[in-house]
Amino acid sequence: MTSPEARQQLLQLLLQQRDEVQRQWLLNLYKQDTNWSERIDDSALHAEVDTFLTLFIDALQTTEQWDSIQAEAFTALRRHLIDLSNSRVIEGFTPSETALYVFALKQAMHHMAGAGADEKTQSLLSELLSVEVLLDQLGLLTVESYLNHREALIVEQSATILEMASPTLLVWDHVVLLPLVGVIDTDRAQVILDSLLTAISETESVVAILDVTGVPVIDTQVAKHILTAVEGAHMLGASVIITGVSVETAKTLTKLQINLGDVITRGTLRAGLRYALHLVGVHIEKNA
Amino acid sequence: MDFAMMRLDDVLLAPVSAAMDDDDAEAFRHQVLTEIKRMEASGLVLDISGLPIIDSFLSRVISEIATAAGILGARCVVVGMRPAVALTLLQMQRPIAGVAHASSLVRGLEKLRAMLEEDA
Repeated sequence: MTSPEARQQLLQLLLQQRDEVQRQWLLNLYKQDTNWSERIDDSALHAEVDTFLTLFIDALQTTEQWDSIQAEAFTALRRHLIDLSNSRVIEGFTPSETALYVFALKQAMHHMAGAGADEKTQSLLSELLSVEVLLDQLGLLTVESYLNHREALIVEQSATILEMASPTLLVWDHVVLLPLVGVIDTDRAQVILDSLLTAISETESVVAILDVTGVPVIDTQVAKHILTAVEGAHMLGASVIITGVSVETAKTLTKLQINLGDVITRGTLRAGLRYALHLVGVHIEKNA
Repeated sequence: MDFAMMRLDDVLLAPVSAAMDDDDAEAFRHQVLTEIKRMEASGLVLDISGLPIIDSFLSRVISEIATAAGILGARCVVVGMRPAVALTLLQMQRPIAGVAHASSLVRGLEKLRAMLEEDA
């Protein structure tokens, strides 16, 4: 049951006591386990709290709809909180810590509302508040567990993708093929290098074909990774043939003046394989 | 310290032992080069298959032995490097470059023969 009178009363109280509410909110924040004072600049936190309260009170004054933050009046506040949450992610706060920041205001409001009441009401309010805090924490536990589990899934999936994206194929005796697919960043380059060297060693290959048909961009960085792989293979006694270099890539490499040195390159996998077979002394001819 | 080495016709085969400290590495370098000079070797095979890991000093000594052997008239092939060793060298950005490599002793000898034939 909502009554317009009670609502007005609360709003008036909030307007009168704004500074006290803000002070209480900050006090509550510093009481949390989060250790705000060490992780965020005091003046920055004060400014955040101040902005929030201003936007919050504005919204409450503007709209009659106090039951949903989706109301038009809350747009600015929502935007402020989204920005704030995003920066909390970067600053390394947990989802719970981020949410408890807002929940601390609730306690301050309770404090304000109960200030004028008699002793019995006050103690009832304080007990109610304790239960509410418990429920908030339980709610946060579900959010936190949900996020943790999803994060674990994402980590697992990226590991799988990383593994799947660098298979090694023994295409002939002592000739190993690595078809590279997708963007090559530093992490992937390390995985590729690892599987290349392991494959050469395990299969006793003397030629390794790196097919870059599926690599969208070869820039300075990627070229460096490829040269490292060539060097590594060389130390295990294997030559590397780069195949599937696109016309675009050939143009980029020459424009960027990237020197692939003595690396053997071929335009197509077919040409590369032919050259690899030549290197291992295999001669193929059609049946008569 | 005396290192075990083997002579195959005009090729010197020298295994690099895993337990070499810096002083041993110097002694090894000296013994290998002295032996090349003495037997007038035309080839040197440095077998590093026994090395599970490598440090920057040993990798430098190996490259330098290869170069010095060349000066004394012996072509050098480094054989049997393990993938983990290659990865370490790449991470240190100190690959053993400018020398031929092969995966095994047999392939190394093949490569050496090919190189010597090319020279002849």
